[in-house]
Amino acid sequence: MFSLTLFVSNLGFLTQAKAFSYLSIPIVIGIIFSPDGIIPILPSTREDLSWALKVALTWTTFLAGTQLSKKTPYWGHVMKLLPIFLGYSLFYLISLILISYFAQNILNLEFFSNGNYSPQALALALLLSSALFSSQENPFLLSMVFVSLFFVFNSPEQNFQFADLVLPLGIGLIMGAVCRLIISPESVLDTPSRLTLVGLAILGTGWTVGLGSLEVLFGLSLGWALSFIHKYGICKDPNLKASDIPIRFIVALFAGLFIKLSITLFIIGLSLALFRLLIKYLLLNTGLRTAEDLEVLTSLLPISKLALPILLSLHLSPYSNHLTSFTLGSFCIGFITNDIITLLIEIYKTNTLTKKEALI
Amino acid sequence: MRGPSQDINIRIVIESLAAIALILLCIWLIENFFGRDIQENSLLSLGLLVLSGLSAGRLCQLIGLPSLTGYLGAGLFLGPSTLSIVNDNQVEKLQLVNSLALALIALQAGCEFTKEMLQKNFKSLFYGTFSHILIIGIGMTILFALMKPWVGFLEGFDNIEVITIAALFAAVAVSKSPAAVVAILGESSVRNKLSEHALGIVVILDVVVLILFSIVLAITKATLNPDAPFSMNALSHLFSEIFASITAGTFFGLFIIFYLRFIDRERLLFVVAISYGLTALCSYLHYDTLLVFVVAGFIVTNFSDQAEKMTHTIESLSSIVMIVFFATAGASLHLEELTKIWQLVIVMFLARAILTWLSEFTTHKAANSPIELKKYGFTPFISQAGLSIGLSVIIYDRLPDVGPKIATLAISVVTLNEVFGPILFKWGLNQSVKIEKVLT
Repeated sequence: MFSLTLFVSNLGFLTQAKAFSYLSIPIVIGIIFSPDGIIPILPSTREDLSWALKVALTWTTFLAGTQLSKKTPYWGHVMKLLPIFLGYSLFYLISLILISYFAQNILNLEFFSNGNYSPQALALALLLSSALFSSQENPFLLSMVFVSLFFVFNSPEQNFQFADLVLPLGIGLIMGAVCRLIISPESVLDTPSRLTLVGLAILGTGWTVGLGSLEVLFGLSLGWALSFIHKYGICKDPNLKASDIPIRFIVALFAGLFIKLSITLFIIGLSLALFRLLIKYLLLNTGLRTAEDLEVLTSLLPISKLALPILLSLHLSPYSNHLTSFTLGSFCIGFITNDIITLLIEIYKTNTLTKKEALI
Repeated sequence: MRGPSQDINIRIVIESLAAIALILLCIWLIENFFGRDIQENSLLSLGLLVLSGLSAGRLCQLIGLPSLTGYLGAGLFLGPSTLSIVNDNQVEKLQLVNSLALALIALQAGCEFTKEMLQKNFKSLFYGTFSHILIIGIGMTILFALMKPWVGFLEGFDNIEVITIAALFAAVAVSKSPAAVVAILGESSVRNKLSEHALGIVVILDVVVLILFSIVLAITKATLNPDAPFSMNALSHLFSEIFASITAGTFFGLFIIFYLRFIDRERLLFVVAISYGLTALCSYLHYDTLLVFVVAGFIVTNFSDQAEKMTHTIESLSSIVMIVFFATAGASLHLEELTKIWQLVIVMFLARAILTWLSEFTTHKAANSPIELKKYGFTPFISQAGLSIGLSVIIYDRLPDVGPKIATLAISVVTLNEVFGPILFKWGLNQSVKIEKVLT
């Protein structure tokens, strides 16, 4: 299963497609091999590998963290994203209605109190909708995921606290400072630098996991600390970035392994993906947001690469319960649907362009 | 397999160690000031093993010892025998990395086996294989049997039984450590007659020892338990598994050639994928993993021009894997067992070292090998590691009464060999290079 995913990532087929993320393929492989899938693996096998997965989650967010300084929002960018946030408000409402209508029975959650939606229900919708509506150009929406955690997990048994957010970020900064002690920012990505980075990433992951917090936060913080505070040249090294795609494939495979498919997940995931596309289409069609075809295909339509690692990390954390399982499952179905539709759109656009060129 | 950069100075080592101390201090501070307990987990141990292994490896390089000794030392220091930061349960969970390490080691070893190398060293490899089995095997058997009055657990056994138990212990003593040999050669980048001889012998002996061990185990079981008749079934099963392993190795070697020749994308991932995939297959079908990978490497080297790509990829991957492999090996060593029977362990350790020297001396005398092999040919073969421990564990499982005691003794001797073997080999390798320089 592991080898199959690596081979798939190696073959590099469909390289012509810009909108397709390829991550849908390992997710589907994961679903096939999941304990409830067609060729099931033992849950214990999956659990035995969870420590390696946690490192993969850290590494993928670490790489994203090294790119964070490039994405610092500026005024023009905020103005550009404003219609997207408006569209998101509509998407949030749709998500809330869909979840409360279809998933009320399976979630064992008190959706209403005093005739209104309960904070937990509102937060759950926020969690799923922000992850699904995020895009390559707007990963900032994912900060909503962390805000929602304070309300989704506020029971005496599972209580997400401020320290759960701050400690992993702090550990990332500490590890960044430690890295500065061992290797200088001018170093090249040679064997000792690579080993030090890997060692720090593993140790920090272990520390964060030991504290019962989210390793993705540590990864983001470490990446940001190294590239932004200490200005490490190695963060720009193409060899470091080369590890990104395979690690993402592994993360997606494991996400698939944790999914327990159901009709409700299908309905919610599929409909939310369709609504997402519809809202983005409306934004573009009404002129609220203008973008070239290429920008639409590469930035606007694909879901943020960080969303899947964050949701999977949440499902692997001590906060794992039926709500995280539901969120991960619905998100993955939505992700696959979005991938397929954007691929079809791209094929359609390419064919139209080819025909036009032929006519000219 | 190239280790961490050679450009090491004392400042780097001190800074690395200070960094680890700083991390441990921060962990302590957060635990105490934020009141957040850190739950035990294998990632924390793995991270500490990697960072401290890296620092200890650098320290060893600085004082002229192999990095491998530093990795082992770091594991030993953090392991259950000393600080207990890393426990047996956590080491067990890191087996995923170990299987990758073994696959890389075996592939690398197989890639070194060129037809020219085999032709050139045929005599020394041929004599070497026999002399190791005969001299160390018979020598250790006799010594162990003669030590009966001082070996408490042999009390009550008749002479025949003692001899079979001694032969079983001797079979473990004949085994070597391909991992240590490949790691030291990778670190030093030396390729000479001694390196070729070392690689050849450790790989050939790996297969021969398995056969020898199975025969001796079957005889010992039949001798100790007259109700269980001697059966050749296990042996025929072993031969069929070896044959199947060679076939599988050939097939996968051809597959690797095909991939590197026609696809050749993301080699690093390809090597990881094939290592895990094939290891899982070998474990499922009960093939000898080491043999499968050695044969695959041999096929790639001798039947294509893709070997350079392959070795280059393995080298870039192996540094982290080697640290984890040897650091976890260090962490799994139990010094407390060794201290209980230290006199016996030292006698066995010295006897094995002397017999190894004797067998190599005889080999090179018979093969008329060059002077550097005659003098330092024994140095690669003191090391013992995974294979020897694996055989000891089989003894532990298969012989319910006396098995655990033999295994404890064998593992204690392996511990000493694991610690001192790599140091001796690195020294021997350096000396052989000096002699070659003088001669040329």
